[in-house]
Amino acid sequence: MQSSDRRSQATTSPSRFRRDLPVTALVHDARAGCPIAFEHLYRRFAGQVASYLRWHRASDPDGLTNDVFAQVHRKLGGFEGDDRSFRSWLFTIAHHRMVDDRRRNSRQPMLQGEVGVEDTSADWGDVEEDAFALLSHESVRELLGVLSPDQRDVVLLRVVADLSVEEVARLLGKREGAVKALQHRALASLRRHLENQVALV
Amino acid sequence: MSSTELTGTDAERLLAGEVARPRPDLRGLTELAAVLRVLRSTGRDAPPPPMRAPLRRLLGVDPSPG
Repeated sequence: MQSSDRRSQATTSPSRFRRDLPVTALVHDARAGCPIAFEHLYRRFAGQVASYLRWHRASDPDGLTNDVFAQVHRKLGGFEGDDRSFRSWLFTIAHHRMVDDRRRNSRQPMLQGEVGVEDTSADWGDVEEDAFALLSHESVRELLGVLSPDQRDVVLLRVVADLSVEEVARLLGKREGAVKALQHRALASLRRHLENQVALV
Repeated sequence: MSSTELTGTDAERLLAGEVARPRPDLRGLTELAAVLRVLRSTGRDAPPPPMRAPLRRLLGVDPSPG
């Protein structure tokens, strides 16, 4: 079977969303004007984009996510690359949208929130499970407020968007060494903050 | 306050989602791993928000005008 045949067949079933379809095939079909292929891309990535925007306290994460994908749709014809490249390209658009939104709102994140985590002295596995269960999204959001905007960008792009150091560096226009230094300082700062929280328990 | 600090290797392992035993000299590491797990899970597991009318129209799948 020809590769193009496989790609076309990948998106002929609109009723069932499949996560195993190759992104490159979906991009190919979406560029050819197939709305089903684009909807597959949306379903695959929109939740992750919305989470990224939500952790950044965007004013309307769901609406911005729609805007991001509208821009993706308009620019898809100029995109060339593989699955990883698409993710990186998508989050570049999402990040720029977030920065625009941040500028518009000039809103500072809250600082010094209480983080509900337990003391650590037992085995790693069970204690990590307990700590995970006790964390609310709001407490994590408040904790992110201890970071500088640059540090927060790097942590969220690495963890929520699942981008590599190299991809984050390219997206932010920084050197890889600078990204590594930012992520190191960010995590050290978060750990110190959490250490103090634990000491208060 | 402890005098020890997170190393760059610790940071890279945490960001990669690697679970390692905590360093006993470094309190807060378990909680930090839990925070990163929350962030990672929202990235991987969050459902997509509803596709709104303007985007649906752009795709040509919404018959309603304007």
